[in-house]
Amino acid sequence: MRSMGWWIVAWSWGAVLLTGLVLGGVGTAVSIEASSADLALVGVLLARSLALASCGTLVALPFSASLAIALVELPVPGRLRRGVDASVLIFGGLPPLALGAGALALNLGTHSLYAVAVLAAFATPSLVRGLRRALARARSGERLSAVALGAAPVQVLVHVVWPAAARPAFGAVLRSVARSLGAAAPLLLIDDSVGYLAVEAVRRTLDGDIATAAAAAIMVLAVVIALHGLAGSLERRVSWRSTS
Amino acid sequence: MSPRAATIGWGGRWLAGLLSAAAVLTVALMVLGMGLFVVLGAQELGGVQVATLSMSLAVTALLPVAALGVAAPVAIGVALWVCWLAPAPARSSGRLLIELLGDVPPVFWAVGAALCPGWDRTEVVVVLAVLALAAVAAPTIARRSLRALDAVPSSRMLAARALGASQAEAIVTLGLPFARRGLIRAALLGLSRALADSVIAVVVVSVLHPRAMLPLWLLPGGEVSINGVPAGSLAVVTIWAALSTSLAAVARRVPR
Repeated sequence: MRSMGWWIVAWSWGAVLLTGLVLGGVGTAVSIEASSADLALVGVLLARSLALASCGTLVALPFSASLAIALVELPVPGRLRRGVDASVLIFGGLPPLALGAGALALNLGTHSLYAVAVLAAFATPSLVRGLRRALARARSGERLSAVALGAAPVQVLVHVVWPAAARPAFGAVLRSVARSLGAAAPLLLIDDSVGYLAVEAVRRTLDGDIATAAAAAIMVLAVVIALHGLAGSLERRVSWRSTS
Repeated sequence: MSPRAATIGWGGRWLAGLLSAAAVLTVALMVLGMGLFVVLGAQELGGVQVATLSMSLAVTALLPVAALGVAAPVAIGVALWVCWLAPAPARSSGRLLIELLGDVPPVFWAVGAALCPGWDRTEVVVVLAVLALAAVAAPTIARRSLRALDAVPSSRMLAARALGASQAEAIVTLGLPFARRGLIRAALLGLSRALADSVIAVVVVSVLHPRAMLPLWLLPGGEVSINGVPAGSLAVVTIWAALSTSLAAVARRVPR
């Protein structure tokens, strides 16, 4: 049974490796088929998309962090807490396209700032959830000890909660950037001036330029998986430390 | 009063209240805006676009349901295998693979569907759309199902095995009934995810083969518009958003 388990592990990692090789092969074939100008465009759009996704997350961060701190650290009355939870739930459950359609109807324009605003709205619910989970990593015993020793709430936050929550919080931010990077639907309705790689993949598919679309999609996938992997390693490092 | 509450002054309480009120206000304004779109779009929805609208809504509602039918058995089966049936070393790999698949952006599946051969035939297009949505929903269902199955007390499973039940009997008679609500919750959340992300599959596949289905926002523009966007389209998107959100809310209200 044990050896069978190792076979399955080897098989699953082999499957992952094979998938990577297939994707790499498709990517190579695509890069041969797609023109160098298109590939250069994909590179430029990737950098631009990363910048826009990061900006969106950074814009959403202050409100999300404050809300998470308020919910975890401050004594919000139960009824209000349930209301906020429901609000985050409703906002998080919205289809991404609805955010873009709503912003389009509000006539925010087609500037990059508009894209950042939409991406910030898109990132807020997942950021709040991730940051709440990160803040909850701080042990209540340590928190109570600090309070018992006379620490002020801000001191508890800075000296007890933050050291335990810092890495998972960075992980949550990275996951949010990755999620924004892979989201095409929120920005699908704006015109070409924004330049977002995931949207470009959809547009190229619609135009029948499958080679460039596949190159763009593979690039998005690789960066998203890398960001998630980085976030996961940050979180695992914390759990390893806390158990040692 | 909790120890934390005792240490927080009025400033902290005001800050907490202010931030919470801002969150509630944002959603309230959003709901009001959505209502406005529906009211303004209602004139168009009652007009000539009824046939288009009904087809769009039917496609948008039916595709995710079909995707759920494909994804739920597979995802729950995989979760069952990873949680109880797989040998110990394979469990962590299985969980990692599920996480990895959940991180794949929906646009990747959409472009992948476009790469498949035979998309110029209507039935193939529909199957591809369903499969793309199933690929989006399956990791969500598997992840949530794993959480539900993990919550089954291992002592009860061991007790059942000690009383002579086989692994399959223990799972069927004890594990699945215990995790039933969690699995329903997982399926509903998967449906909500498929509904929310259906736009990618619908757009890509429908434009590749226009006769297959109609994307929602390409409803013909009418007389009433909001900043140039047809009010009918906005109303449809709003109804669709409300459907997806309420499904997610209902799923989270299912007791564990």
